[in-house]
Amino acid sequence: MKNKEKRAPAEIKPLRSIRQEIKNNLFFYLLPLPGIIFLILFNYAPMAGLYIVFEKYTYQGGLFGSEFVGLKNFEFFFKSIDSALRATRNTIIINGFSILLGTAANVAIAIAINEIRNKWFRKVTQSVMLFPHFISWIVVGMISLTLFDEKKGLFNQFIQMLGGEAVNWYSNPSLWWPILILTSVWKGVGYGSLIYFGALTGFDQSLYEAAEIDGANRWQRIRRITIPLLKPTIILMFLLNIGGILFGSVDQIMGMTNLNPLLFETTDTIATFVYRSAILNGQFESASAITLYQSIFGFILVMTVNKLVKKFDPDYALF
Amino acid sequence: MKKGHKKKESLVCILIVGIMAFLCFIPLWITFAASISNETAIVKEGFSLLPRDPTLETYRYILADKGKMIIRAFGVSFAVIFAGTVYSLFIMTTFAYTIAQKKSVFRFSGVLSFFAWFTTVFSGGILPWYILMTRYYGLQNNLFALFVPYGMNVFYMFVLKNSFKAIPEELIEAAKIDGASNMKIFVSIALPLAKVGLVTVTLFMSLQYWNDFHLSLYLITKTDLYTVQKLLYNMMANISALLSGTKSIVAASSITIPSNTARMVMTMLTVLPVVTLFPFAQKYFVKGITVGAIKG
Repeated sequence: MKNKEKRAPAEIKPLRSIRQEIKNNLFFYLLPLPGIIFLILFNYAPMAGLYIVFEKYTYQGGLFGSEFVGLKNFEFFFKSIDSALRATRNTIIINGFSILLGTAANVAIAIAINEIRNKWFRKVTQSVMLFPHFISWIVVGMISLTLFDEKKGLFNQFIQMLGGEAVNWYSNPSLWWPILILTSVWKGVGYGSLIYFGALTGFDQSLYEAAEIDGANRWQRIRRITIPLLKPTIILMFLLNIGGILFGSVDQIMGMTNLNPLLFETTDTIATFVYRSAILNGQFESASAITLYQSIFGFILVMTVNKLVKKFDPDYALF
Repeated sequence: MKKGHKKKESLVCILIVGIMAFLCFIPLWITFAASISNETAIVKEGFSLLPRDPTLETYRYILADKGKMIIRAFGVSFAVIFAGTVYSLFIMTTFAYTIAQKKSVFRFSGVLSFFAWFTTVFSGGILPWYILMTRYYGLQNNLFALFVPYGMNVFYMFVLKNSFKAIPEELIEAAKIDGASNMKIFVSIALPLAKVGLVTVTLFMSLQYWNDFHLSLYLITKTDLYTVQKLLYNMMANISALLSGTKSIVAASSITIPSNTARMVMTMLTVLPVVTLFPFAQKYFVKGITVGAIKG
């Protein structure tokens, strides 16, 4: 961060001749080439490929040679409007609450860890909580079978022990918003809290010492010092996450529900919708249409968020 | 002053963290317990916190019956980890070193940094990506499809950039005065000094490749090229297909194969490399995450 300030514009020599510049600095012109090529092929080309949403895509025509149909894909989209809207609603609810609850949980855990003096306890719990981040959603799906299985799962055993009726987890869609949200909070808490913990450890300790001398108790110290100091990081992380609210991967849904049609009412997201219609069934029209509005809303969201960040702290703005 | 640091422990905080850690640990433990349980006991009484009639029978069964398939999948996964980590580390280090330069050394470092950062915010979504991979780049049903699309993880790349930035400038200057070429400085000074960052990113990337399901889901249909994750997913999918059938099929299948414990054994095998790597990697993870969290 400090390097930024050091970079005075006067240091940059005026550009004399392009050939001279390239010759002198050939090494630095060649070195990033693999990365530049990669980014163009795998990140920028798909952005250009969004042109597909205006086409009647055929394999022969390809991405840029298929028939141009303008907004006609939206007709197909409106034919499947119910499932498209459902997918959008599910995506926003699942991602939105995961971000909200996730941020709250991460901050809470980071603060709690910071208050713990016993180093051994701190290290062990941090490692244990970090572990779920490093296993795949497929593994999480398998693991959750031991809890949710209708007959053998621990949850139903527990419910029945208390005299309740066994719950049909895998055929009851109304349970899956909370399940998906809580599992993604569960999976991310170790990693997310580390980010806040990293910020916490950098705070000026003399503030806390002063507060203690003044007789502030732990809760007061957390509320009056820690949380206000942590606020920029919280807002920043929150805003960065919210830009991707319409995107998301199929891994969690595939791993946890195995694309169970019984649960689509609450688990079909934009990502799984595109996967099912375009890749499994080869219907590119409705997938194109949903991709179009996903990108438009994604773009608007990122721009809005960026404006908010700029207002809040120009240093953190994306552009 | 030292006394000030010996504050009283907060029971509430210990409880919160303890419960959370417990919740993170216990599902894995149940899975492990199931993997060493007796199949009929699980079918009769369900999963449990302690293994039921501990036995290694299912492990033996899985390794004997599905051994070839599993070894193959492990082979594919390890090949992907190896090739992928080398490939993406090459792309990321060269790029990160360039953008770690000051503007006075290389005038486009800022532009390139933005060029990479931009892709974390905007994306074309999965549809054009899928068409490009399969129709134009030929990345379908071959080993390359399992790692080439992951050449650069921008966040990890920024971790590398930060570790290059942390190298004291005087060292580079001194080497320059001694007449070392840019290449020489990069290879024999910068790379060794950025070792912590390199190790962190290597570990991160290996785990990313190991856990990846995305690429094999979209780009692989051939069974020869199944990774361990894909194999696990298929085991889950096939057995759930059985479960949704009639009861007689379920009964028949539980006689022939220990389906419940088998899935858990497979899960344990999938997690095993992570478990073995994790203790060594832990300190790097903590460092890497805190360094890479904030925009480079």
